[in-house]
Amino acid sequence: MMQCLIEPKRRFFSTPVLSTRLKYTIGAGIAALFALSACTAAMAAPEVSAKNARIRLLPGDLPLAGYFDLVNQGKTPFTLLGASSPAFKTIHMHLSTEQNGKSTMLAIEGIEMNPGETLRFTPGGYHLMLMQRVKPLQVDDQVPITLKFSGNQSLDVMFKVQGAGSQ
Amino acid sequence: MQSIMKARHRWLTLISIALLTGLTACQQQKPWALRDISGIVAPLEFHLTNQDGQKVDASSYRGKTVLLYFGYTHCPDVCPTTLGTLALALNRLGPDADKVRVLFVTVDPARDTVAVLKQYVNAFGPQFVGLRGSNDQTEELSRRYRIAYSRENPDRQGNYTVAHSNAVFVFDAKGNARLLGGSDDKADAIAQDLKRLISAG
Repeated sequence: MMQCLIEPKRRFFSTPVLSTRLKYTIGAGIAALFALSACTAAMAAPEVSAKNARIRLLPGDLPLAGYFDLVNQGKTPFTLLGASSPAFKTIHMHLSTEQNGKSTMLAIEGIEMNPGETLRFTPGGYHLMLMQRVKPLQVDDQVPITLKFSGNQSLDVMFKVQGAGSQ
Repeated sequence: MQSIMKARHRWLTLISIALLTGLTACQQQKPWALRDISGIVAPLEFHLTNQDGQKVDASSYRGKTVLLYFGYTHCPDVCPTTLGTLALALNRLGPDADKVRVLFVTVDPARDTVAVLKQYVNAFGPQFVGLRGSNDQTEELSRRYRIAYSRENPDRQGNYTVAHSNAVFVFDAKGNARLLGGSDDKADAIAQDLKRLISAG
């Protein structure tokens, strides 16, 4: 409470008073951002749904795996091309596979899905490899990831962060 | 390439022998859920550094049932999936889980420092131990257990994957090789075999 009485120039972190003009500029900027995100939303909407989307958390900045189930509910085939997220700098689509008695991962460029088909990204198979966290993550966090499809379509999916031992 | 084929051939032979041994055992008692490798695979022996920076060897884990697994922490899918399955199996053991240690030996000692390993194994449970050695030590150990691994070409950012065998070796409390598991084995099956090994002493 005593700090309230200290005169402004002696504060370490004082909030500068914004000029009215600056406030308007910021306001316009925010409005423009909203308009932009609305545009992206309008472009999206492939006839596809994702469920069971989850990320398995590992410590530090180790690469993580993202898993989900995807259903093509439309009448046309489409191709899953990859993913991006504000939470990770790099995301690759991978398939774990066994060759010559060794487990390894193959980079996947695209996966075609026919109408009615379900595609499972699951431990030991397809997974998103999520690299370089933008900020630390915790169990139970929700992380937005955008799945990208052929025809310039995309789907925003919330992934739930689960523990290291989760499947 | 030839050495890989040879390694593969050796495995096939081993598995065939294991299957035959399993068949014979069938006549006496219930078969194991995992593959029986008693007398086929070398006993537990190694000299490595644990996640606390201490030098350890097989005698450090005498009296514990030991699960030996080779992997690397930058492996996002297969390694944590396998370790997660083992963690689940240990959960099924209740207090007996303390009679088991999971030794995770890194095949990527360049990136898996003691500090990285410590954080990593702690994420799976108190029975998990991270082990690392020099390239030579890792190589020697992989030969002992016929584990194939190879570092793959790095991408433009310098990230690389390490292809590696996904075997889980189970040793009894005396350090004898007993069972072999893989990525397809379920937690229930592993827990069932571990219980039997623990109760046999």
